[in-house]
Amino acid sequence: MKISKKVVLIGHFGVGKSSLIRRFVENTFSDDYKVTIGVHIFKKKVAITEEDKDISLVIWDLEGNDDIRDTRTSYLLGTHAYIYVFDVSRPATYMTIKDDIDYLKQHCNKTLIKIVGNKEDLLTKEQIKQLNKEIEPLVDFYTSAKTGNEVDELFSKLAMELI
Amino acid sequence: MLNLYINPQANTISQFILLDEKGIVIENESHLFKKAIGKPITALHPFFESVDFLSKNKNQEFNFKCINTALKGKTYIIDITIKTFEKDTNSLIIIDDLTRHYSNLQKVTQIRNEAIINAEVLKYKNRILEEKERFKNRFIRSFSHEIRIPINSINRMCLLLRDTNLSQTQRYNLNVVSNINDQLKHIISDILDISKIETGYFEVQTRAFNIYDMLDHINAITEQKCREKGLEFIYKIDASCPVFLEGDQYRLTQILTNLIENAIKFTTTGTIELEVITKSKTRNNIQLDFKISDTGMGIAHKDLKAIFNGFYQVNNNRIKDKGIGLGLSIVKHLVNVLEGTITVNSELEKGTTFTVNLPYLIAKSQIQNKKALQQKKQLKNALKVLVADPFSKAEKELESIFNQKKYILNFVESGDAVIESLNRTKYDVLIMNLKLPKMDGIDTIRYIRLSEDATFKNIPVVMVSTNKNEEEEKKCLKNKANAYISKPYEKNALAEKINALIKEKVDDFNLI
Repeated sequence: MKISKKVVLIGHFGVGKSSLIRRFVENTFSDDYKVTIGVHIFKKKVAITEEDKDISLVIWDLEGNDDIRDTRTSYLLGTHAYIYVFDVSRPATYMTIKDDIDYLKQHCNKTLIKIVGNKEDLLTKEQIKQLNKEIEPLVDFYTSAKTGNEVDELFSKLAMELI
Repeated sequence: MLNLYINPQANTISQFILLDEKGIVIENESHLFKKAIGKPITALHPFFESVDFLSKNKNQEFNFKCINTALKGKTYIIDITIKTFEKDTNSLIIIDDLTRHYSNLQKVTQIRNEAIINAEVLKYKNRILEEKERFKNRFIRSFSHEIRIPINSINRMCLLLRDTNLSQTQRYNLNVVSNINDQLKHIISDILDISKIETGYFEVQTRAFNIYDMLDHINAITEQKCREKGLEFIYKIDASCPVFLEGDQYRLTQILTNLIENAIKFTTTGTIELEVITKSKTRNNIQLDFKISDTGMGIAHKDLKAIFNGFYQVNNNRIKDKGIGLGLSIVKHLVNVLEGTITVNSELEKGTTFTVNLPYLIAKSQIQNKKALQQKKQLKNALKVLVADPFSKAEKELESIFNQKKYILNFVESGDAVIESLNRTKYDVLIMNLKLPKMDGIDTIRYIRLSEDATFKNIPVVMVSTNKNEEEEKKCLKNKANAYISKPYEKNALAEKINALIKEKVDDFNLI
């Protein structure tokens, strides 16, 4: 049976949502920041070996917003999982994380949410540790689209949980 | 501006696709997506895969704006509308190409976002730097505090050792240890000051102080240091400067001492001059210029901008003890904290002048200060007499003889103490008893006359004996004593001898 799930990446602009997807889908990275207008949609098949199943992730890369309430609601229709991305080197991108997650939960209570701190390569392990203490709710992954660190792990875990 | 948005709309390319209830394409045009009649719509683009379920809703319209798609090797930015009907199971998809419109929006957003991101990243980097700086300064503060305790202990032990029976070599070695310890203390103190200033822990203590007293104190220390290096120290103060000012005396001393020590360090011959000039004065306020000039090696033009940076050292092989390069940085910080300015003029091989301009309040009560000033002026012209006599009676005798307004008398009890005092302070006359413990009067005068220090070496010496003895007198004169007298002191005899020795100050000299 063909399984297809819609995954939406959401968060402030410039946090590296597009870069995370590019790293996951194409295994490439560019330092040049190109703003996303509207939405880019990608598809990647993930093999879940433990279950002996494939899952197609249709990944929606939404434009970043200062306030996620400004996101076009049509984009969120039928979402199976959210990946909330913030930039570990820009506090402005995680200052409202609690409110943002509450908003997403209110909007679609049963949807899976993963919280991801991207650009972890810009901080030391000690700084990440410190940051982790400051942020509530708990961060699921600290990734680097640049180095690829934890990117595959993020999507694999998500795919596993979506099956 | 409006045209920018109207034109793309006017030229919009649209495509219509009709689907059956299973999502299979019944009819479609091929302006954007290729023809796919008979195929599922999900095959055209992943977008349709994730909105497939919407067609099950009757009589609805769903709008998806600004969808980026790659079609025919080109990126299109499109709006997609999905329309379902009440009675019809088919659904209609309307696709509008708004690439030009959205591209303009993208350019504007790109500029805006980049500016915000750069500002945020910069702010965060600064925060991290500030945190590092705070940590560094906290560390330095506690480290400096801990290291000062043993340094002070070494200092105390040196002082205790100095009072014990030491040979000349041991005394010399002790002085070396003591000097190195002082240097270390100075460095730690500098580092601590910098860290205090940088973390904002630095407090300015404003209280009334006597600027003449303060400058005399600096003068006494500086004169000695200059003399050791064969330099002349000149110090002048503008007569219009009030005696009592309100401000931070300790920090002013620190600024001037640092600049003077720097001047001494970089000057091998000539003079060091401290001049205090009243730059402006009102009833309550005064601006003073403190000019510290030297005839030293000067500073190259290229180094002038950097000399106030922490740990900056002018590259000069002629200077042995370069320090750690914090002195001028501290001065600059202190001047800023005291709301003043500092400027520097320099010419290579001719010398350097630092000018520090500082504002002060004029202390309200200056009446008693005038008296103090008079006393100060008298003391400035007074003769400095060093008396070496182990018998306490001598102190009372001489104090009753000398007019205390015109003489500063210092008493020591041994030959070693004479040498130490002469090393520390410039005296006009030495009155020395022949019978001194450890190193007697004759050994002491021999040491003095063999010294390499010109001022010290040539000090007028009056030898004092308890029993008048011609042989003894000859011995004293042979060892280059200037005069010989016997106890009990006679006012006139002593006056006569000293008059003869100090010709320049003879007008002021009146024992009776």
